[in-house]
Amino acid sequence: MTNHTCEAVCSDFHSIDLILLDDDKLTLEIVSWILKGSAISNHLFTDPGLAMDCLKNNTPRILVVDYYMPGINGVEFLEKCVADQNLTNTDKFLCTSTVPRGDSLSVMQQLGVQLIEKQVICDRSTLFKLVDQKLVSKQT
Amino acid sequence: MNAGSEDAGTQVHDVASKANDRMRSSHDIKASLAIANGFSQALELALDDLQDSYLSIVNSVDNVPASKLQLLKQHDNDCRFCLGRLSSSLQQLKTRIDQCDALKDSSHAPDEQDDAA
Repeated sequence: MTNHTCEAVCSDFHSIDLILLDDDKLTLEIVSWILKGSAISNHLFTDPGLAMDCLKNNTPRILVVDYYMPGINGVEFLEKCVADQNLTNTDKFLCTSTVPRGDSLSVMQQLGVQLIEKQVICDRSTLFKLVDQKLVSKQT
Repeated sequence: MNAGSEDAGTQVHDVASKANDRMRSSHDIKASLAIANGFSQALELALDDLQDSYLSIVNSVDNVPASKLQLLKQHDNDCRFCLGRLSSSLQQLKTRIDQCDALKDSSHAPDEQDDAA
């Protein structure tokens, strides 16, 4: 496990490649394993409060948030993030295998949030492909 | 009248709640499958690393008994066989979940509309 999965305290403002919030620890463990040794800087969280604190000091290039979490769902979290932080240069993803309905869907569209399936971030090749695509598009 | 509209409201709420539970359940199952696939990949790569390591050790040591080397390779093959079957089983599970989802979608959609109406 890298030190990024231990609910890191992010005190200095800087830009990082990826922030992932998912209440499922196994998801964090497999993503951490995939990113181990790569050049992709990342912070992985199970706690929405700590992820929110981290976002106050870090602007990720990619933000991935799980939809179903206890206490707050992914759309509510992203809504709060966008209201509190400047995430205009961040690609925001909601991680779910089912398309949210009703209000959540319209909020997602307003926030410019894209849907992503969990199998994409749990698979080595698709996760690297996603990160590469997004990082390259930011640089060009 | 009020009791009737409250009942209708409760029914609509129940339908929405059931639909949400179904979506969550499907989400959780697919998430677990994705995680299992991820760890299956991780295991394959870890096995490759292990093989590289033991082969480099074997190649650097003189006079490794052929029987020991054979045993090592057999264990390696056993691990890879099981990993292959695990991957096939996960793929089969995914196919079955997708089939179940398709069946649920086709059987529940009219019910929900009827209930909501």
